Amino acid sequence: MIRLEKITKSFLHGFNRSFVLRNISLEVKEGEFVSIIGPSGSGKSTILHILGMLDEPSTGEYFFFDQPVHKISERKRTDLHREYIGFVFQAYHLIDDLTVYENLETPLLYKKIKGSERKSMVAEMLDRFNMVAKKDLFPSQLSGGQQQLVGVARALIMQPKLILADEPTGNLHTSHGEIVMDWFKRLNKEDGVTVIQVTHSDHWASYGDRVIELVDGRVERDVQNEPVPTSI
Amino acid sequence: MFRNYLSIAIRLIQKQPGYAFINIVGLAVGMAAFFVITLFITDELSYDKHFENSDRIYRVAVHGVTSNGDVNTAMTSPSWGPEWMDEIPEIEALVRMKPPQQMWLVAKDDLKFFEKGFVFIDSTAFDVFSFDLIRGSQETALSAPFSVILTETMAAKYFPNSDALGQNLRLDNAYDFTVTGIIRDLPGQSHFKADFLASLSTLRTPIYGDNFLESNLNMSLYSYALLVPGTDPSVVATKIDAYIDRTVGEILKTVGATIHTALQPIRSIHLESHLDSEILPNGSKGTVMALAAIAVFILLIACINYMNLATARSASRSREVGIRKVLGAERPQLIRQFLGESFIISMLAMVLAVVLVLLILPTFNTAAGKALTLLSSGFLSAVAIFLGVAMVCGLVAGSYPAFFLSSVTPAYALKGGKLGAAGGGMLRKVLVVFQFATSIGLIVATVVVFRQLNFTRNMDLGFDREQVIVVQLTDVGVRALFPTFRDRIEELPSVVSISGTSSAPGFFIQTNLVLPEEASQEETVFAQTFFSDYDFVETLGIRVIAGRAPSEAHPSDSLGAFVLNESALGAFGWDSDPNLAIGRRLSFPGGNFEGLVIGVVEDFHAESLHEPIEPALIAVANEQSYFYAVIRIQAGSTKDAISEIGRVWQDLYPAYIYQYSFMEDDINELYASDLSLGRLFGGFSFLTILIACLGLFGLASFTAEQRTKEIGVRKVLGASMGQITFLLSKDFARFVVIAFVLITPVAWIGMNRWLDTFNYRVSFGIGTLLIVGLGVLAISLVTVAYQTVKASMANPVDALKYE
Repeated sequence: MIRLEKITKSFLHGFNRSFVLRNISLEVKEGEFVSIIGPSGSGKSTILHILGMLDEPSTGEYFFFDQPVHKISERKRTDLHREYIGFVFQAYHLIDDLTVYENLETPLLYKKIKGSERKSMVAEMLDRFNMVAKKDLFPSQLSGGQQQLVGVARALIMQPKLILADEPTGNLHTSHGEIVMDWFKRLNKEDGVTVIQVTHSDHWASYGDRVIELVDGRVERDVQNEPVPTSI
Repeated sequence: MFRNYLSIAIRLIQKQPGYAFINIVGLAVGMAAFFVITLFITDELSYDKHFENSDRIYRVAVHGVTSNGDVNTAMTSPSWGPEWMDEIPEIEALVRMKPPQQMWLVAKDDLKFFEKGFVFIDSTAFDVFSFDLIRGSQETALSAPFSVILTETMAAKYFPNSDALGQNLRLDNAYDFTVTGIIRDLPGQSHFKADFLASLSTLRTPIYGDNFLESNLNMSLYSYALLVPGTDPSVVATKIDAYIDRTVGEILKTVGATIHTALQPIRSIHLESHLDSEILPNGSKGTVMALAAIAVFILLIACINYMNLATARSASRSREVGIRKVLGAERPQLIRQFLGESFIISMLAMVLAVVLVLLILPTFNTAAGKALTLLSSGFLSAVAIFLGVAMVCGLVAGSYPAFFLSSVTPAYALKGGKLGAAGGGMLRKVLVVFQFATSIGLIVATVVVFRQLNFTRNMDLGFDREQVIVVQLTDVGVRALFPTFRDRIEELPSVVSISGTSSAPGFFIQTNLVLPEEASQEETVFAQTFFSDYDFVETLGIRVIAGRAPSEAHPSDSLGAFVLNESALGAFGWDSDPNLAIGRRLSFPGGNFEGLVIGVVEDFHAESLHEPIEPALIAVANEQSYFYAVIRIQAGSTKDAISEIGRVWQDLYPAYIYQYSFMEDDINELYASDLSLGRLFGGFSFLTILIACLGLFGLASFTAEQRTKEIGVRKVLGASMGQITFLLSKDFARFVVIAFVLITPVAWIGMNRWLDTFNYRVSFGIGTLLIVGLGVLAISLVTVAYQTVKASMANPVDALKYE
């Protein structure tokens, strides 16, 4: 599904070039649940952004379903990520001025899905996450955990093949974190959605089947986890 | 999708009403100013276009060169027109028109009014001008002498309860005219005013003297020609020149003069013609262009506000852009969203602008001397202009945020990247500087215009313009009784002195060719001539520097006595010693008036200060030459004087209307167009500074917000409130200073050029500029003070926790 070949990312600071990622090569197969861990500044988020086509590598090649992402046009890339990728962020990143319902609806609008179909998709998602009663509230009226669930629901509404999660539990109480993580686990096992999450906690990393550790922009460790039994 | 954008836009307005208010009010003020100016310009440009074939109608203007100066007049000689019609095939139709010099007294029994729009016109009027005749016959209505056609308004005014056709009107208490037709009212946008069209053939009778229509070298009426389609007007002018050379060339040669003619397209007369004896005061192309520029600038400034505030807020909006991109938004969709928002704002602004226009128009009309209404350019065009302006504003104002924000990289935006400071900073500074430069420029213009007007009001004109009443002597009958009138006025306790005169300062000044004795014909001089009574010099308070003023005590003065001004001395070459002039003999070519120079006076300004002082002579003449009585009254008894003079008038001239004015007002009237220019500049500079300050206020609040953390750190490090306020104010002050430096040369050159249109002007240097600059600086600092002080007072702990 995903293949990175010698990806680097660097910034110019005055006359110095500082590297965030150095020569990263890795492959992720469809249906995997990967946790990327590492200390602050190790490049975890950057690689996630590159995978999600939100950022471009300085050098290297990126193949997504065998398509050379580093070569195709911006429009094509938007199409790809619209079609296959859902995002979940540490800071939730809901649109403050839209209600829960409207936040869920927004990606469908961009995909130009018809009104009636849109309604049923949003309704289904609200139902699935038990948020029907909250559909007219604004993000600021929800707790962090609730906001993150809206974030997850929004990522799922497009039925993506890949979910990229950037410290999805970082701002949450542990109990809320568990709920979110269980959702990922279930999606991965039941629907075969590929999940890649970034975290700096071993606890959350252990939900993944595979753990990749980054240090100073290099892959330090890449191991398969013992499967953890789901609590549901 | 649209609903989604709409709800975002509406919620933004609800969430930040102050921001929305600044944007909407700023844009609305800009739009209202733009619309009002558009109305004005449309009106100015529409002059005389309502005539069919107006593209082929020309007025013949005369340019005369004499040994002592040029004459540019819009008038031609009465006998010429019909002969051009006969011999120049390119002229399809020709009409001569004679409007009143001042006004005519028109009466129907006891209904009496002075009328400005009583014109005599050839029976060919309908061939040239598409007057809309609704009663009467085009062929015959103007053929017989003493026929008159009325406009509907005049018909209703003089014959409110009866049919006007066939009835009589009396002109000047003496001549009866028969109403032979009625036309629809003419639009006000014309370089002449015609409420009555009287047959020109009437003028064969004694109204202007028996031979008026035959005179061939007396520029005294206006000739209009309708040319055959495709004719080059200069070809016709050449043929007319040839005609003039053939008929009166010999006479012109004896006085050393030549005459050329030019054909003025009537559509261009209002804005481009500034000849002597224009029928009505014309507009000015310069004013129209200056206003057009102001309109565009004001609108631009208002749009800039929107852009500035939007980019200042981009830090908070960029996160939304990032999310939307992650959710699959493409750039065009985001651009549409931001443009949509600015369209909503600009539509709201448009609604407010309509209200503002209704509020502004009365004031504007007073300043500009117009009668514009919201719909005076037509309902559809008003709607089109408003919608058009709203669309353009929405596009211009929204373009920068739309294109700038939509270009954000999502990863960067989501990390909370500071786009506002990094990306929009430079452009925002340029825009603010532009706003302030425009404001400073307009304020400087206003200040200079009013300083000059003040200067003209207070300048010593060489005579005392205060406490002088001017009474018009409109008619031969009035003039005949003038000696009695004068004697009775002189007896009034409120009156100091009185004099009759042919010309008075503030009114039309007559000029004549004058010839000193023993000089050749080529040495004639054009001089302003005041044919007047003995006490003219005394009544106006003109200062004598040699010889004496005319006096009844010298019986010889009645045989011909002249008083010259200093400029006349110069023109005659006697300026080495004023006493040289005394005793010299002067005459008018043609030989009907001559006399001796008895005195010399200081130069005095009879015309506006736009004009240089010209040679002038005051000639003692009898009452038949007087058009005005100038009366100096006792200080403090103005009211008594007006009523006492009025009583004498009623007693002597019961059939005539008592018309008086104050000379000071008449003279100020000469600067009416300058004054309206000043008022317009003043009004619009107020609006621009208002808009600019609105924007600055908004910007200051965002800057303060953006720098919260910096301020917190500085306070923790020991900065005082004053230091913080200074730090923040300094940045805004810098904009004003840069704007000042940039606009100074432009304002300086532009306003000096305007001042150069005056022959007597104030000096205008760096002082005025500095005062305006400091004023604007002060205004802008006061504007941002609230925000900066608030920011400096904030608790640093809150600011740092915010992170």
